[in-house]
Amino acid sequence: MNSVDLAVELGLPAVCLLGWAIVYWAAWLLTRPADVAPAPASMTLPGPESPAVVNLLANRWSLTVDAAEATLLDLAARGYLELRQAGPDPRDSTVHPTGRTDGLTEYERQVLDRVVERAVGGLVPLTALAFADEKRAGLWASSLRRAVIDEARRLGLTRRRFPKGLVVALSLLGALAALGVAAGSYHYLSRTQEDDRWGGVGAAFFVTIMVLFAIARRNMGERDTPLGRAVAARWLGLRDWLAGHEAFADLPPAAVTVWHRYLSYGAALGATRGASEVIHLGLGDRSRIWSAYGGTWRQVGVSYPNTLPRYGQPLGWPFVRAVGAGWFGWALVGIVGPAAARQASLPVDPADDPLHFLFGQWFEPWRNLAELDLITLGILLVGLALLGYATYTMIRVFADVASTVTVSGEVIWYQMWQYHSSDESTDRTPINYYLVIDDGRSDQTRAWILPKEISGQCELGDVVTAQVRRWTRRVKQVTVLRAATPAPEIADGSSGTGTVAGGVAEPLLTADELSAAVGRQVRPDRTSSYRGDPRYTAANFNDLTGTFTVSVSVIRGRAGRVLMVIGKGAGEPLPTPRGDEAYLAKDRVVGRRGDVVVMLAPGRNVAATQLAGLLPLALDRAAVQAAAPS
Amino acid sequence: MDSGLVVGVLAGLVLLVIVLLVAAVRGYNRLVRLRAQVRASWAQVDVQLKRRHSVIPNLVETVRGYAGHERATLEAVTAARVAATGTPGGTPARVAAEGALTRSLGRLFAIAEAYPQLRASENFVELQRELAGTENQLAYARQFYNSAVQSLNTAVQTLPVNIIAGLGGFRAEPYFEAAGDERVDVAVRF
Repeated sequence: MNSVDLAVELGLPAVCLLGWAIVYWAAWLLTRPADVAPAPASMTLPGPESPAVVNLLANRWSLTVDAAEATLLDLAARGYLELRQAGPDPRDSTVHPTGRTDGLTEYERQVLDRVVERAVGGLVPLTALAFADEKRAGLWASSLRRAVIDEARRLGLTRRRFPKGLVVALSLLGALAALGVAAGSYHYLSRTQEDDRWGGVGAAFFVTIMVLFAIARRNMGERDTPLGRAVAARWLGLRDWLAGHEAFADLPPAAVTVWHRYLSYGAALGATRGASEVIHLGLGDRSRIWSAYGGTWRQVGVSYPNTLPRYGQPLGWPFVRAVGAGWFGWALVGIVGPAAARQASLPVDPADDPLHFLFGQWFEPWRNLAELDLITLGILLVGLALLGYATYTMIRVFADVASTVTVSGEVIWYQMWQYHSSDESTDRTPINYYLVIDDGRSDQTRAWILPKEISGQCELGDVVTAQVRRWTRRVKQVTVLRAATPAPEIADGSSGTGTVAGGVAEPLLTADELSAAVGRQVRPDRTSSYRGDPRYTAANFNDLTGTFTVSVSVIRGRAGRVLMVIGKGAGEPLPTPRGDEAYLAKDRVVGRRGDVVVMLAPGRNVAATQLAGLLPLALDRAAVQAAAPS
Repeated sequence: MDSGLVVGVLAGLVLLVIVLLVAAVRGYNRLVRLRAQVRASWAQVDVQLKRRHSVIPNLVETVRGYAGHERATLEAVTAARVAATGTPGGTPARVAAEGALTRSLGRLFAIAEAYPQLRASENFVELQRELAGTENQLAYARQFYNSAVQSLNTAVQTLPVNIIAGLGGFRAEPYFEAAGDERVDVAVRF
């Protein structure tokens, strides 16, 4: 390897990648959101922008958690909600929807929907608006963020930090850098291998270009516009004004009755410490969970078992541990201890031992306990402790086997606890879940451990009855008595990639209609439904044990026609009073109304004939949906 | 006496003096900031009051065109305005004068109810709207002023800042309280 080889094989790729990195860094540096100098402090509300948009502008074009809180306060200031404080503590505030829903932006509607969704009996405690589901909290926040940014862009106040042109330019430069890396690889492989060098070159090029493309296309957030800077300066003037009033920072949320939109803009600008401490629309505190089970709101304190190994384990494991500890303890007490004691003391004449006839040789050394050294005594004590542990564990294991407890109530927290992870992937494979059931009788409870094998059988908000083992906190069996009311759908913003969180074809056939048809309760599977391509939507429904039961699909265009041909070939024709054609096959019921094709696919323990009666209804609804303006 | 002990006591005293000095400077600066905020807040109130004063002559003239014989009420409004503008800002006398003006304006609008032609007058409606907007802004300005006064008065009366306040000439400021008529419509909801 000479210097030319070194330059081409290492120097060229390094220079190419470094050059790309410098360009990227320069782009990052030049597109940073500008620092805005505040306008003179003034109490005048300087513009019509909403508090959420103001939050974006005032925080250097980055939305903070205060945006949702400010929007909630703004809804209260504008009469969509009422905030009432029952006592001296702002945490005793409640939110009351007034029923008004007109004239709201998308994100304001989202916040209002959250309040309405949580309200029981027309009210919800202010601190109960937080989410108990981490994934849903994340989706909710990202949906709100996207809606706020969309409005700010529409108003010309913000723009994409890396515009499409810059991304394209960085991608093209990335391709050039990848060519440099590929050239270095080619030189190296030419020097070291006789054949098959193009595979390695292609791999080097492909990996490099994919990595650089991914970096270039990464969402870098928002940046300022000239109009945005001018507007931000005025709002920062208001922030300075509000920050000058010490008492304003401590106002409780209910003060919105007096301060109106000043409080909501204060929250957006970070000038209301008191109100912001109380309102939280992110993931809730799992140790203090609000529950309305029983009809009235109350806070349930929850403790989580996590330190001892027995938690969540099948009883076999504590049993094995008890046997092991007992065996080892017996070895120490019955074998090691006496052997050491015999060495430490003189043999005892059985004639002098009145208990010899009872314990014989084994007891003999214990007569000389006082003469044992500390180490031997320690060994004996450890052995005794292990025996005690084994005995206690055995008693608890048998007691747990003998007395399984039944707990009934609402699932108020459901979260992955233990999981496997690997170095190769960031995915986590769950082992056990925390399951908190509020039985409505106590304000203090302790989480149960739900093994993954039965984890799909219930979800947050379900009213369940569970058979549990009190000592290991392990759930043996869980049965849903009443399924949770479906929460409003939150788009995850990935419609371009084709994955979405549930509820897509749900309006076509409701869970109740499908339950009646298949003879057992079903509900939508919000993790597997699809709505990526407007020509194809599908919703899966599972029974309450989490088993796939039925799939409802709506297909348009050529794919629908192909599906009809398959159905015709595999099944028998069905009467079609209004539909154009319909077929019943072993694994599907498929029908067409005009250009719209509906397919119902049965899952486990369901026959296609059970679904045939629903097809006309589904076709009717699909035709109406297709005719409706989008 | 042990010289080490003396040095230690002296060092402790010096440290104590430094701590007290720092606390005094911080307290003084806070009082200055609070007083400045009170003045700035009053300036905002004053802006709104001036806007109100500028609307009143037009309003009086408009009402006079339709209800000229309500001389006493019109003169009362004019006199109250003159009294308010002639009183220095930020004083209890000014607060009282503005309250009297608010009450006289209330009586003026009550009279207007009896004159349908006046109520239909475009000019009157516009002036009424402008005055309502000004009153609205004035209400917020008053809230900010009172909030600033509350912070200053609390600081001035609280130990140990009150010692610095006494030495520095800081004093409690008067609140700008709502006129009697404005207090009656407070609804309490349980």
